[in-house]
Amino acid sequence: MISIQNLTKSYNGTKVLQIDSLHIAKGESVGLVGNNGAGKTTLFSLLLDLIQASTGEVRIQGQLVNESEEWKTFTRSFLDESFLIGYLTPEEYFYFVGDLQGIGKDEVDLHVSSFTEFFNGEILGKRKYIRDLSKGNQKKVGIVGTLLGNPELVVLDEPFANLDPSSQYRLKNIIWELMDRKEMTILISSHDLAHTVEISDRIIALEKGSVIKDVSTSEETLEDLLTFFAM
Amino acid sequence: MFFKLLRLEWKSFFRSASFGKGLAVKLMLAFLSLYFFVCFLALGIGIFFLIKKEFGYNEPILFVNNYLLIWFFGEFIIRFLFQNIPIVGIKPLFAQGISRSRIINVLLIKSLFSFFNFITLTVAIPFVIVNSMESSYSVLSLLGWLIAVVAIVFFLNFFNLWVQQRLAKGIKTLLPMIVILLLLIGLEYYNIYSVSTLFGSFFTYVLQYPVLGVLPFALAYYAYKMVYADFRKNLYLDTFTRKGEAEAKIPAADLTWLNKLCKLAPFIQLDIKLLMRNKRAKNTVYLSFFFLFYGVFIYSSDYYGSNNIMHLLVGILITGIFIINFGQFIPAWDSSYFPLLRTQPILVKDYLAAKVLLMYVSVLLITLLSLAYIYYGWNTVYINIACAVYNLGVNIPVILLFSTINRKRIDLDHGSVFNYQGMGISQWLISIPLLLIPMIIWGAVKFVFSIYTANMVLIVLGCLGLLFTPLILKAVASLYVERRYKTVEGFKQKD
Repeated sequence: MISIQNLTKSYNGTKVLQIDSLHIAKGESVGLVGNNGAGKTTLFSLLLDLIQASTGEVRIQGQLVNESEEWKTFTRSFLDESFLIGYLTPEEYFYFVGDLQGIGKDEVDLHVSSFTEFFNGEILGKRKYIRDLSKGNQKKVGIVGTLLGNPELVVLDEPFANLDPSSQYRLKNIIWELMDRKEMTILISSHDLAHTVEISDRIIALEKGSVIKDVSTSEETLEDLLTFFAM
Repeated sequence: MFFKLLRLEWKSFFRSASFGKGLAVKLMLAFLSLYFFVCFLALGIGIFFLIKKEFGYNEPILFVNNYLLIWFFGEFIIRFLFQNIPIVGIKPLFAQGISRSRIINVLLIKSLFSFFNFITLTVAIPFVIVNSMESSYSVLSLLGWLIAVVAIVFFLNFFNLWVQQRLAKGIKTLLPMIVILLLLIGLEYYNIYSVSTLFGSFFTYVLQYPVLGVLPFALAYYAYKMVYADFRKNLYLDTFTRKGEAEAKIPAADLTWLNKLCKLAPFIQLDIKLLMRNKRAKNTVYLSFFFLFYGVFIYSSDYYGSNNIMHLLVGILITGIFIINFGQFIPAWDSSYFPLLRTQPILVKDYLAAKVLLMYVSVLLITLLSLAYIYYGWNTVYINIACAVYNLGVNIPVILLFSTINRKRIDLDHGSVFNYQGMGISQWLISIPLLLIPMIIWGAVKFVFSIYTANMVLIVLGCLGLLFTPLILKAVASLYVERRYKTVEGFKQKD
């Protein structure tokens, strides 16, 4: 699904990211962990062609992300609030994204209605603009927006941050369900090691811009990571 | 403590991120304010002699008195539109051990240093100085008069804050006042009873008994107390947020007919919502309608004669003010969610085409409305139509070309007219060719041939431009793609 070769990103001569080779297969669910400034968001931004790579290349399904636009039809991402349109209501936002993706209104309604529990009655039908929602609720809108129409690749930056405990639990359920189907490739970054281990079958740890750990998730992974980051 | 708070204000002004930035914008603003300052100053000095000569008043100040109320009414309207409650920055103070009354006092006193309080004074002070030299009134009388004027200015300052504060709660509480106002305007208009003369006669009394000049301060004080009491009751963190009116105002169904435009529809719907729901964007729409009336001043003035080059400027401005104001901030309007657009399967060409379509519609709509100027003769209509076609065909593509260098973020919620966020030097420069080139072409052709040929030339140029627009769109689209990283980066910078 994703293949990265010799990818580096430097700002004013300082390397903030260096990944020699990284491959992610279709249907994998990858958790990206690391401290602040480890390069998680930089990696996602490079993957989504939002910043320019200093060297190297990123391919999604064999196509270079900075040349082809094909990947945009099956890739969906939510990195921060700049992926939301503040002056729309959540419904209007879903319809707008649906329009861009060629998903009809009815299909959007059907999809969104399956997240009733996750929304907890605070989002739909409130006639409130997204900019007036709380941070947590904004995040929910963004996450559900990415899952619209079952894309093949989903990229989420810190999806658990700002969510209340019940919503975190519900989000985990949603992701587990998607993992079971093995159709969607999911990339999730997080500071929260426990969450990440639970919802991924592969963990990649970044430190100062390099991959320092790349393991399949097992019983011991969490403990491993905890000791690793405790240093 | 009070001074500590004031010092905080001082720091916030000089340390604000935008303070050091954009020297060109600053210079331009400084130039503009200097220009207005000089204009007002000249008005203050000149009006004495003007009234004496034109209207034959021995004491122009008596003439001025009769129009003071209208002047102040105008000042109030300007304040009402542009002056906001200086609420920013007080949020962190709430949690500190500072009494509410102190915060409110600082807030209100700070408002006295607003730019708006100096407009009237810039005219009034030179006027009083000229009077003291030329008229028979004593310096003491004139000082009393000036003090009364200052007091009224202060009154307007607080009264405006009070009205705005009331308005935030809903227009109903202001209804009685609006009714009284309309009644007074009606009485004045039909010469039944003139409040402005009554108001003026007070100022004439002040000239006789200068002590009376202090009286309006009671009014200002009362207004201060009113705002104070209102704030005291209502100044909470959520007072000025939009939570109350957060409801989506337009039903989605209203825009579904747009779906017939197929792939452009989502963008157009988004742009319409952008224009309806965000303060800053809304202002550009209001301004476009406001500018429609610009023609009245020029057309009805004999000074410019008929078919003057000024008429062309009016035509270009009326039909083009929206494309100038809206077009030059493409794609910055979408800056707060630009990464979303970048990661969706969107053709930049479609994105731009939707904006162009919106601008076309605006030009057509405004041109239709401007047909009312047929009152001033067919010529004005011809000129306006020629300008509209020129705007459609030439100015829209030009503005799109300029838009490729836009990299400054716009925060949609900050709406005041004195908000120059997203402005760079290019934004100032861009208006010049848009207005000047058609004026030069039209003026030259008119001089050599005739006004009809001049109009025709603009129309032909516009039509040619329309033919080439698709090509230009394509070029602009590829420039957008080329500069995408810089744009994303630029839009991320909040200041």
